[in-house]
Amino acid sequence: MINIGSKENPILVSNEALKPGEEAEREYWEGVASGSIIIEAEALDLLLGDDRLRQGDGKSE
Amino acid sequence: MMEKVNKVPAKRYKVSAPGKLIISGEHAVVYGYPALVTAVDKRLTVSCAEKKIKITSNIPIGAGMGSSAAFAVAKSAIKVGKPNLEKINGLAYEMEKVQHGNPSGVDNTISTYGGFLWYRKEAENLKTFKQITPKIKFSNIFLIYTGKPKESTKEMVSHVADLYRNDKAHFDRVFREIEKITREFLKVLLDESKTDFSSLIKENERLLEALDVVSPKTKRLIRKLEALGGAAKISGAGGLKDASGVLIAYHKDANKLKEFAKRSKLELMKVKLGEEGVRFEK
Repeated sequence: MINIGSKENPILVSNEALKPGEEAEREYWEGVASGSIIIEAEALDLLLGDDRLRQGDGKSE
Repeated sequence: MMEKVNKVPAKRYKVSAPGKLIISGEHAVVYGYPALVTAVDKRLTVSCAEKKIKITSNIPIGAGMGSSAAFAVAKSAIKVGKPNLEKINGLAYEMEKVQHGNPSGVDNTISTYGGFLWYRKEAENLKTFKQITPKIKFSNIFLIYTGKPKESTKEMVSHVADLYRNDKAHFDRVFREIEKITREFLKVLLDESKTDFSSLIKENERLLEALDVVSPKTKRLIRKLEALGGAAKISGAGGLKDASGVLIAYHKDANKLKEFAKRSKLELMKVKLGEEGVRFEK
């Protein structure tokens, strides 16, 4: 898992969500679109909003 | 067909688990609207004989058909060693969590139990699952592969999120209409409605086009199929620039669909819905 939030407010997502161009990323987001994978609204906003993503500390769990 | 062979201690077994298809609710399900999902007759099989493990699968990979969950379910079934579905499903879910972080449980559940499943994310930490016992059978269902979309599936989810953010009122209306279709599919399955399956597919497709997840090329293809008396809708994330991935297609005369696919040079695959879940093969 990867923390895309902050130390104070960690938001953990699968590292598959952050592998641009890889099949794992494609399958992950296909899973999100079809309900197979749950992503919280805050995580969704962060992952889809590149500017805000740069504010996270990006540490792996 | 995928095949992989490994060596293990002597033991004989053969277990298979099905892939899945989302019938209705894609994209809307991200925002808390329901989805109707089904197990299909594409299966992943794990067998062991002569100290070798063999894995074969005819579940299309990268098409959102749950091949990862089918593998998790098959592995769990081997570990549990008997058809204790609750235990198998629980173990498969834990495996999916390691793989994907926060799976909803839909894929492992439909692959374990088979049939049809109604799913809804009620709140961040509350999900509703309901196994559906169908009263009717859907037949003459095919999958058409329009090709790999040019954009990533992340871009497709992002596109819908942007549209939703910019006009919540409008897109909530679209999602509510999609929910009505998903519910109507459910009622047809339960034989509580005589709505034509073909018209539900068409209406669902119109709404997915309103969500802007279907490419102009795919729309033209679907309109041609509709002109021949058939119906088709995208299944999964879709695609905008060129291809839109997998379509669920239906025609009461399957031969017309086969001729259409041949003329259009498209991959066509017959699929059965509501298939059996995990199975210990003889």
